[in-house]
Amino acid sequence: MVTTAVRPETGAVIKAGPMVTVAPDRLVQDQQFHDFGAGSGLGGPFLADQLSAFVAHERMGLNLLRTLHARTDNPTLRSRYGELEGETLQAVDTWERLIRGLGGNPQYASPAGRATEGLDNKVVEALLLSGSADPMTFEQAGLQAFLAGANQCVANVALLSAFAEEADDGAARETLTSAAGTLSQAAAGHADWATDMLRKMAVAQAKHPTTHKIGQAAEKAVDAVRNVVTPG
Amino acid sequence: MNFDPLTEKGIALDDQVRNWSELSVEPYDKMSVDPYTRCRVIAMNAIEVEAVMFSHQFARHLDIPEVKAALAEIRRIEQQQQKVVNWLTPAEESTLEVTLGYEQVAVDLTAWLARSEPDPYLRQTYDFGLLEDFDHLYRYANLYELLEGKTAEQVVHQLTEVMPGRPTQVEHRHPVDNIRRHYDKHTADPLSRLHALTITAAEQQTMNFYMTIGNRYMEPLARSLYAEIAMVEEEHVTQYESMLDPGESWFEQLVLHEYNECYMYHSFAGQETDPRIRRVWELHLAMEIEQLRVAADLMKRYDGREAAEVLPAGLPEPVLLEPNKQYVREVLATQLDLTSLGTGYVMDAHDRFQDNLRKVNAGGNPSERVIDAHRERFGTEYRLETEGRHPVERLREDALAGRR
Repeated sequence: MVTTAVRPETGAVIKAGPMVTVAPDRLVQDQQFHDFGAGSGLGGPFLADQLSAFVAHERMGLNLLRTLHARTDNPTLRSRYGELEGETLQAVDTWERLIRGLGGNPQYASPAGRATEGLDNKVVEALLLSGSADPMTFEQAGLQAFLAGANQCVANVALLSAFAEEADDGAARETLTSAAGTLSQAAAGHADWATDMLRKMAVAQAKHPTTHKIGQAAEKAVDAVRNVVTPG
Repeated sequence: MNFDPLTEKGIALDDQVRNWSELSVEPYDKMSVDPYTRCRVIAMNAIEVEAVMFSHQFARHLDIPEVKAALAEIRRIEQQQQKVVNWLTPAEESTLEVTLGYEQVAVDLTAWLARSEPDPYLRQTYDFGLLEDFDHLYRYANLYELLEGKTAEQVVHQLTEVMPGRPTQVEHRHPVDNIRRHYDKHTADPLSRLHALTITAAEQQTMNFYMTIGNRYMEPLARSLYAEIAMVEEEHVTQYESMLDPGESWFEQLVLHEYNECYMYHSFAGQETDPRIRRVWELHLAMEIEQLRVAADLMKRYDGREAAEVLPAGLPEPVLLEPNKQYVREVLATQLDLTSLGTGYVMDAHDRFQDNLRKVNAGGNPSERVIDAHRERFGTEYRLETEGRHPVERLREDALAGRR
């Protein structure tokens, strides 16, 4: 079973940082990661930090997809966001297996992971400004948010491939290579889908102003309903 | 099985709205009130004020009508809860008597949080603040007898001792040295997160209170003492809010606020000695359960997360207001001379600390003058040492008297 949110109950551990306090039983140190990816010739602590950030990004992607799924008014997008959530859950599973396969702990939340979560949190929170957007603009913003996340996935998998290429021959390298192969297709597919969908939506609105007007009409309809349920 | 607010049924928001007469509750009797009932009223007022102010801040960071409306609706109820709680304080209780209550909260709540805090650094932070609030109680107690001719024992009874802590005159650190490290949301024990919210709310309300009422006195000594201690409360809010993980999303913070309100009302309902006020805590708990449910629904839709992903499976052990005399004495005996340097604690009176003290203490300290004035008027300081002499020899009355 994959972890969607790393927390004390799931066995979370972190490194100490200049502005972070951690209870002793939750503390890990760099030397504990020296054997991470043993035999690869790569720096274990750095690699552990990076992979923690990569899996954190996938987990945050789940949050983004859940809110997009809940909020979109477009049935096609809703259905696709649901599928993507399932595929992202699989990606989390792959990252966790990779980390375990390299001798690490998927419950490790690295400083790089914290930074990733901070960035991804802001992507989700950007959608809190949807009140000033018409429905079409909101759908576009949602897709853009997903594309930003998907592109980061592609970059993360590319980095993983680069680590595999630079690794010494052996079991660790094979594990890295295998995971990169599994993850790359889905990551690229997600980015391509979002890019294509954005293009279709934008071009449709550019070529057919009525599409945009339909969006504006929908906004008025939504406002009317909103005013009914929210008096005043 | 621990009480889990997420699985309990609360009161529908529409049914939580009260009319004006329901808001105007009968205050407690100041002569017969259990001091810890007064403390619970003060603490829950602080928790409600924080809930309201947080909600306002959150609302300023989004423009989704449905979310703004939900926040406004919950906030209106929180405001009503705050009125009911704070209006339990009787007008016949003087400002200084309320102040003594605030400092008793600051001592016994902080001490309990420290004793139960799993993270050593956060526990150290509570201990550090504890000795300063403990000192404030002593300074205000002396002012109280000077102005009103009554002893603090009548307010705090013998539950909390009244004697010097870390002297207020050496609490004035450079702002840079009031920043603290924060817990990490992934690894922090749920208690650490709840404790941090509670102490931040309590100290923030103390700061707000002194900011507002410190100028209500004619006597220059009272005005200046409130001003000096109010500035220390600013330090304390800076210190305690630093402990909160800034990586928590807005919705995560909202859910945590509501959960902490459930935790605090549940804690206090379990120990309240006044049946009428216990019913207030129980009613508000039922209200908060529904507010938590609404917050959890908002988080699910707009943050993509389940509340159960960020909250514990049940409430931790209840917060308990009780005497902490031996604990405070131990901390006094071992940590009195601590100050801070950046986010760390040191015994060294470093340059930045001394420079700041020189600036702000240049004209003397009201916190010292109040003791001098008391000694001049009564021939002695006001103290309430129920467990024997002060654990730090140089802070014993005879030692201090010899230096004055």
